[in-house]
Amino acid sequence: MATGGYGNVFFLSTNAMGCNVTAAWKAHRNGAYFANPCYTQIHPTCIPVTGDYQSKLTLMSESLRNDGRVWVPKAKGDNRRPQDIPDEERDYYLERKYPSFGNLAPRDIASRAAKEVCDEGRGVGASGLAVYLDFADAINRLGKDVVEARYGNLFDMYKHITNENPYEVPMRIYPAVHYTMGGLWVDYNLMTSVPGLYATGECNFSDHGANRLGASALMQGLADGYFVLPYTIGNYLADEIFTKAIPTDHPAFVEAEKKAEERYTKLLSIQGTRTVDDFHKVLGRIIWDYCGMARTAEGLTKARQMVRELREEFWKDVKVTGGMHEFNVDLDKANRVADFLELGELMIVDALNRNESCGGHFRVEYQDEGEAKRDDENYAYVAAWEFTGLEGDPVLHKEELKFENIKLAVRSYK
Amino acid sequence: MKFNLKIWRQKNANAPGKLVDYKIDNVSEDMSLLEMMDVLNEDLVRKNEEPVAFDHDCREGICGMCSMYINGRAHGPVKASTTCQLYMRNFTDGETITIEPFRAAAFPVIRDLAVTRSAFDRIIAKGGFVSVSTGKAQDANNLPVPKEDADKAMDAAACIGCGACAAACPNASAMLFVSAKVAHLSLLPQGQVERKERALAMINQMDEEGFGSCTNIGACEAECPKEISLENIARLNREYIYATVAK
Ligand code: SF4
Ligand code: FES
Repeated sequence: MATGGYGNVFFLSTNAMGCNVTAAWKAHRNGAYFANPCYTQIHPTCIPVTGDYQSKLTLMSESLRNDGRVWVPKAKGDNRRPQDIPDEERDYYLERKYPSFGNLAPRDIASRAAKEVCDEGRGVGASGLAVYLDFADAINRLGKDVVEARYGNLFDMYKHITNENPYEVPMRIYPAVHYTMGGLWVDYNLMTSVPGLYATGECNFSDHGANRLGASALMQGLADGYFVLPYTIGNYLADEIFTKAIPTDHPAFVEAEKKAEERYTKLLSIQGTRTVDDFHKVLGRIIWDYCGMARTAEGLTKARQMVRELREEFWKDVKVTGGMHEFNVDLDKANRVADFLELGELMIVDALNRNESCGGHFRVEYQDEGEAKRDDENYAYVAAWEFTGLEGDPVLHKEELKFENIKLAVRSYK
Repeated sequence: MKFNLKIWRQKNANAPGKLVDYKIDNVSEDMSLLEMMDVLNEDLVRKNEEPVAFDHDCREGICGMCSMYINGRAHGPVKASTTCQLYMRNFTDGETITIEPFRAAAFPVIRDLAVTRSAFDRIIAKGGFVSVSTGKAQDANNLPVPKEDADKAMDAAACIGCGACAAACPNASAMLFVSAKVAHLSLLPQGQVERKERALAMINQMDEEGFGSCTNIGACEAECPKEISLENIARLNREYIYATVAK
């Protein structure tokens, strides 16, 4: 399987609209462990939401933080135009908090810091959910030409989307879901816990841990597809070389088809009152609020209940138009959202289980003055969950993380 | 903003289709055209009508899935932009917007505005790839690529395979697409292994799919969201001759 990540569980993300968890989730329901589902990356430099019709978020390349300075007004509710706010009334909060890394602080830290200042009421733009990324200093220092040569295409894209000229007014950015580090558990050969099922790329959990750094998704694509899989999958296939093609009247096929048909029939028969997107947006909001940039045991416990209720509601009140044996976009979406409604709960369960903060997983209870506090003694493991039905709790399998050549240490960006 | 929409509705590939009128108001100028379609579809579903099927995926101009013909132009009125990159501020309040699928014999309509462009995939399968043996990576300096070639290859590689070129062409020719793919690969050292067969194989497949031939009209270049240049077609012709001679 090379079926990508599950970021669209949040409804809004930088993923393409068609990205979904269905293949990985079906594998999980059929025995593949799902590892570290709560590790999701919220990328700091995206174009902010403009309205509730918003369908996706666009990433502004991270490279912009090389020359752009991130700031918000020092005072709450200061709604002067950015160019009218003098330097001493601006809070360049990344430079202030992380003097050695400044605007280049890692993604999880930069995202959390943006959320913090917006939560304090110092966010900018109509929604108050944005911070400035300002190029005025870079333009003064390097000249407009140099800035244009470096970032011209990104500036054009920004202008095209927002109708604002970033050469003249600072960009507005806000964090958005970008990548999911969790995924199907795999061994060193990239095989899941289902013998013969291999998972590569974002749909597996390997390589990134709790945090993903710049370009490492590309690295994983290359590593999995180019350097690992070609050398490992052959070992499995070698034993299967005499197995004939399995006919589609095999009982497993018949059973799978029957299940799919039952599910579609059910979805089409509900004829409720709420659209699929309506459920998806509510789900996304729950996950974003409680299992997003900052998580608490209390919030997660509440959210788990909310997701369960929403899922129940979905199967009672969703409205899907059209028929089964036709090109039916509505049915397709419903089918995806039904899976997200199950995955969302597992993300919450995982986040609740992990009583520490690390990388993209920040539990408010576990911090040192705003910095993530890991608990290596108790949580240096991969949490691989086994599906046992939707009623009870999934079963946790721990894969210990052993570090032989490096010593675990706390990173500091101060 | 308010708009009158005329949208092509067609139940499936064999059913007849027609333009259907819709009215939509409370449209924000910051909405993308596809977001306006989402809003329309939500309304239709609530009214128990079937939503308009349309192609889309990345919604940021990089995947090549979106494909509408808007007010008589592939990817609408804005230059160098895909359908998904159109914003309602690019239209005038109160305007009538006509939205049709891409039309070319080789792109059959699946439903409403969704068309199948598998013909392009089959063309790619004939030569839009490079063979590389794995193993120890080459030292990068072993294979110097002149900057000019790298830039041209990069420009050609910007093609997202959307099919606007074929849809805009009166002959429904796919030459711009094929030329971009051939130019991209034949300019780089990695593309030399299949170079002799590539142009022949891809052009043969293009003909088999039922795309028309190129008569230098240039509608493709004008409508291409990635500004792929006609120069690539000249290069493709050279590659074709080279391949024929070398064979
Ligand atoms: S050449 Fe341009 S119009 Fe044709 S497929 Fe490529 S990007 Fe689309
Ligand atoms: S949806 Fe990907 S290019 Fe338009």
